[in-house]
Amino acid sequence: MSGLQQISQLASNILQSSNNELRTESEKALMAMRDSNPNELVVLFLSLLESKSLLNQQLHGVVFIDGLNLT
Amino acid sequence: MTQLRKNLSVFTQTSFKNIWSLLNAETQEFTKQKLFEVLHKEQDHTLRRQIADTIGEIAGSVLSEKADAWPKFVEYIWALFGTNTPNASVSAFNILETFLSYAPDVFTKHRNELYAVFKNSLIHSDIKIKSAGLKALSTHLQVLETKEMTIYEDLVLPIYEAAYYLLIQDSGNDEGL
Repeated sequence: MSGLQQISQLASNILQSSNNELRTESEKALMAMRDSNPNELVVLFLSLLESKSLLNQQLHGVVFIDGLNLT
Repeated sequence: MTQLRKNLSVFTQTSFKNIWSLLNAETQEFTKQKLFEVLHKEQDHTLRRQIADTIGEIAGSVLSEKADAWPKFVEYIWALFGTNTPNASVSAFNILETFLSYAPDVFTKHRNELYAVFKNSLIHSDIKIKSAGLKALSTHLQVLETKEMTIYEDLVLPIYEAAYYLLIQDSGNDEGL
């Protein structure tokens, strides 16, 4: 699975799953990626933002702009 | 959106970390450029607003710390206005609305151009441009020193007219402006 697909899957899990444990684990994985390689994560998220077919708009708003907390 | 995130996340907002300073220079430059590219292409108005807010936040943050940290920022803003498309103009005002509360001095050398775009927005027939321009101008006026406001004195009447027009329109619009 490519980095883009991996993040897409993690982000989807966070927003769409009704399983608390799955959401928690997905968030932890995403935050771990953020801490270990922020540059790659930001570039991947910008790719996600362009290829919006991968994710729905809510996901962009919650995960990309708020969750990643670029600013 | 914030409430949605809170509901969905087991992490509090304190788990969010400012990562801009952790990015290398190459990624920072890539991000600045890419956000404007995506903004140009984005069709969804909600997402365009979020991207514009992000650009405004990043620009305000980096330019208030270092005046030459984003040399092309002002150029990009004029480019948005220069496209003469309503969506681009609204996005430019959305960026300014956020940005001008951080680092209004960046536009000191461009005060005449800024005055012109604000004036045009107030008398524009497109209600979204009128609304976005008025909001950005309101933010700008809140942070300007008194002596810097003089250039806008003749806009007092257009400001009131635009505000009145928007209130009248908004009263019949459940979604608001």
